[in-house]
Amino acid sequence: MKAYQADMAEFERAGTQVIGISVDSPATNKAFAESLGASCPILSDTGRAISRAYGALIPIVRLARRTTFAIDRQGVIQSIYRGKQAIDPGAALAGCRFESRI
Amino acid sequence: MAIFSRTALQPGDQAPDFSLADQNGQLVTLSSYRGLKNVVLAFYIKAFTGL
Repeated sequence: MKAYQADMAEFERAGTQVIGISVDSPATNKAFAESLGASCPILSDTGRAISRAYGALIPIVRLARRTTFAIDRQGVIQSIYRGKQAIDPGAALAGCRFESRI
Repeated sequence: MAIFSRTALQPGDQAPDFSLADQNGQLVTLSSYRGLKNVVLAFYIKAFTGL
């Protein structure tokens, strides 16, 4: 977690967009975002394809596993955190600032 | 058999691109941030579960 926080500090200095993603519907994510006061994007992967591509899918129940990817501005994965090491999505999404949509 | 599927993705790999709808129905494309911002992509299990 410490390493993660250090990475986060580095990322924040460089300008970072936090994006949440789950297999929930956009409507559920909207309610979730509002409950958190989150204004960053929370994406809906109801087809599971992206969760699967990232290895973030729990096979039997077909829900996304808590996994965090830190991706640099060249689109290269810098760090992967799983399970307890992964970001607390509620805290991260609630704390994230809205970054202007590109 | 592992409970969780293991990904072939490793640090140093290109992140698979995607376009998905956000909570407002707007499409968000990962590659649109390229050259502009780092991205922290946080998969979570389900809204409201705290997981």
